[in-house]
Amino acid sequence: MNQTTPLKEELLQRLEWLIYIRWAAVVFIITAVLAAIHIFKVALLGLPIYLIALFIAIYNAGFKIYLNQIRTKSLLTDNIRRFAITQSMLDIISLTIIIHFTGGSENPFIFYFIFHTILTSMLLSKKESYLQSGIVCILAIWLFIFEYMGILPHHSIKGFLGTDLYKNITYVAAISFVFTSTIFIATFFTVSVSEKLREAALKLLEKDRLKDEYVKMVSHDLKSPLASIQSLLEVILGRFAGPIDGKVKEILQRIQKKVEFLHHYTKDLLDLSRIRAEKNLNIKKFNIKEVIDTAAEIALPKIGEKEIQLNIDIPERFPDIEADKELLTYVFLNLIANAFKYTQSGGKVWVRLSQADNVLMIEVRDTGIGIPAEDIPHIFEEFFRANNVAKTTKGTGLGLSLVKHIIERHGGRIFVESELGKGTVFTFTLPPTKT
Amino acid sequence: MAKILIIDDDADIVEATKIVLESKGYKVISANEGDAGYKKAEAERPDLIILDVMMKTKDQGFQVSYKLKNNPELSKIPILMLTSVGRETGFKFSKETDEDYLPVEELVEKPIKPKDLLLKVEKFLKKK
Repeated sequence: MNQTTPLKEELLQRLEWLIYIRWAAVVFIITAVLAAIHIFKVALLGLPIYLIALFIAIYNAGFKIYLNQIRTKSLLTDNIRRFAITQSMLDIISLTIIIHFTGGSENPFIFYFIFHTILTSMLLSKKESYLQSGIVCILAIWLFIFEYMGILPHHSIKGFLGTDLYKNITYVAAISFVFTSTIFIATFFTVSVSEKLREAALKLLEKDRLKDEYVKMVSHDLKSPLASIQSLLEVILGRFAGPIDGKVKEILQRIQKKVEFLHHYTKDLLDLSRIRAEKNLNIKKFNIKEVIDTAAEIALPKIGEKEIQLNIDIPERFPDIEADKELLTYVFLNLIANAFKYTQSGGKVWVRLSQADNVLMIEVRDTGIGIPAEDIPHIFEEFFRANNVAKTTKGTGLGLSLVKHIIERHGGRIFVESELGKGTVFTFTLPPTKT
Repeated sequence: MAKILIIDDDADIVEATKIVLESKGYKVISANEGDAGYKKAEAERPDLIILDVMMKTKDQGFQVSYKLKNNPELSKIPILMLTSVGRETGFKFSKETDEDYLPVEELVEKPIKPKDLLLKVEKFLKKK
């Protein structure tokens, strides 16, 4: 089950992105060589370049597999960074060899190294980025000099550039200088921008944590006295403290309703801040049916007078899942209770489970009032309540944001589809369970 | 009539619970803190204890429950634990994970409705 910190997750995402870009680079190299040879009739040695493209494709596939594996393991950020350096080094070597076979210092594509420099400088630390740029420049200059001195054979790109520029010492010196300065200036800008961004992200994370801490403290301190007020009100309304007349009772009932709402509100706030602050999920293997049944059991009494049909559809011999049982109960409870709350008498609510490619798909569907189209993009935001329910029913607007948070902490995703007056479907996924 | 001990540092909760229980004729005694509650349990031998979690410390209620259940003379007294906290004390309040962990008969979140309180009290006293 995925449990990652935001920073680690970001690093992993960037690595994944780098892998995509590398696929694009492989395609670009092959197409460019094919076009150069067959369309522009440039005399290029195709085979070594194709072999390097193949080499890049092979190690990229290896990285992809490795990345999928480390996603499920709790690797340290340092290990992931080391993985990034390995990738970068292999890229630099491959690109230098390609440059060698495509004209060396005469090939204007050497400046494509700048893209690689920018991409990896975003991933690596400041020191690593400069070191990497140093290696790029040293390899390129060595290549230029070795070709100039005849230590390495020069593969000229006849048909593209006719003159033997690689033998011109002024040209070799100039291109080396321009190349080196370009790479280092690019590194400098990328490193400073990404450092600022990283700092800002860390500050935001810290602020968010402080906010959660604060909300947790305040809501906890509010909850205890609210429970006392509720208990005392119950005593009076239950006539345990003596008789009460009609008007007083009515007023007390109004107070009780407001206090109840406040109690729910603080409870939701407390749940939200607590679950957000929780570093580790309590992952266990269990039968998902139990969780759905518990959630339905708690939600059912809240229907009140309404008649709503609840269908739970779980395929036979459904495998056990691995998740935080308590949190997943919360997810089902919230989705089922919402479905009940916004579905009129005579309506239906379904909970359906299916499995595709080992990914668990769970659907909670109702024939309720639906969500206005303009509110759908905001439905998972904290404190947001849709227009058509904000005035008519009580709610805190926290339940769904917490549901989303819990599912994403489990490595899943949640989607919503809704049509006003027809109903709503919440669909969420949970990643495969390790067997 | 059965004797019930309420251990809770919130005087309002004690009062509310007391009124409800006394209405059914139970004899109710109380303590506003864990250690005092334990001493009262030793001296008075109640038939049931209603115990709060967060008192002097975040988990004083848990400690008192362990102490009570470890004392052979008091271990038979059923404990109904009331709490206004959830997971934040570090204890996971779900039956299957912590039943062995938490030596109480039942754990209920505050506020508890008078009707439910009376039902639970009746159930535990009957079992006893």
